[in-house]
Amino acid sequence: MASTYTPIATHTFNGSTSDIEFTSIPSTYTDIVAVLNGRGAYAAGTVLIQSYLNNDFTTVYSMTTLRGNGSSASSARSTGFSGLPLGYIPGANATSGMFGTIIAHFQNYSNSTTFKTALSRGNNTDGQTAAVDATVGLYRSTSAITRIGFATYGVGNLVSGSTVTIYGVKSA
Amino acid sequence: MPDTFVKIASVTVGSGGASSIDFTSIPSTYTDLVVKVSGRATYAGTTGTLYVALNGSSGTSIALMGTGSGVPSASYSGIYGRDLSAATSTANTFGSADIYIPNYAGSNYKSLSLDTTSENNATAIYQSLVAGLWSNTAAVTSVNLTTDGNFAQYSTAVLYGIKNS
Repeated sequence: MASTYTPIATHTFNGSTSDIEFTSIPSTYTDIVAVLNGRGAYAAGTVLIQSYLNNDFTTVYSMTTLRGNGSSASSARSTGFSGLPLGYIPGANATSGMFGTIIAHFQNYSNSTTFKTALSRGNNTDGQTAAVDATVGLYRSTSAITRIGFATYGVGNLVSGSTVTIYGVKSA
Repeated sequence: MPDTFVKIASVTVGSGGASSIDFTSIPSTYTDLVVKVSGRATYAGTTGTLYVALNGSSGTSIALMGTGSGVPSASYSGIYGRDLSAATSTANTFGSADIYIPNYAGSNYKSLSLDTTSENNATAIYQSLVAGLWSNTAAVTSVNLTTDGNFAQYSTAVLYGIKNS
């Protein structure tokens, strides 16, 4: 029977760590959806959140992103990342109390024949560095994904109360 | 372990249209909220904005839009889904909106993610990605949707709850 958004694992940050990895992800779903609601502790307007798959930090990730900052649109593309950029959340210099939202879909994550793609939406409305973005990412590995990590891009911890949850979606 | 996307409430607009679609008395027992909208505005144009208010108050938003001929970005002093279909768009055609509100009952400001599109078998159309912010630490207990003019008959909105465990 198909099911949607079955919670697999969740984590609430306490302010002392910059990342969390979910391991032993079951292969029984079709797609994984991750929802992160958080704020970075780094002294900047925004903090980039990236994902690393199967504990793989080699340069096998690439992405294309489309961004709007409230006045203009831009696009960027990069290859050879050591993690998968998902989007930006507010940093320590953003308005107090403001959290951002990232929603990422990891499609067909458990197959062992294709490279893995992810679609993510980033939402950050902080006045100085606000942006809404859509990113498509590619993990150039045919391995089934059994581990998914979420981390700041080398810049500080996630503040207390930040959360990330992964859900399983079954197609049948 | 529960399957989520539990339907909390749904609205289907009847004959004569509706000035708003309101979800009230939202329980705090879920983690996130999702609102799925299929809507058409009665406004005498090809598109009508979807306005979102939480607990009766508006917020702010940033949009990235595709119009079929350009990619504008704009900021608003409200949470705006750009757009739904409206009265002079192709007949029997409704736009769509998907609104995600994580940690809606938490004590931080509420961040929203909206994806919206109008539909029209012509050149005037809007598809938008929207980041919304409700600068309030209160739990969300109501979601109010309005548009330009009224919601036309057969517009629908469904409110779902998602639990993270």
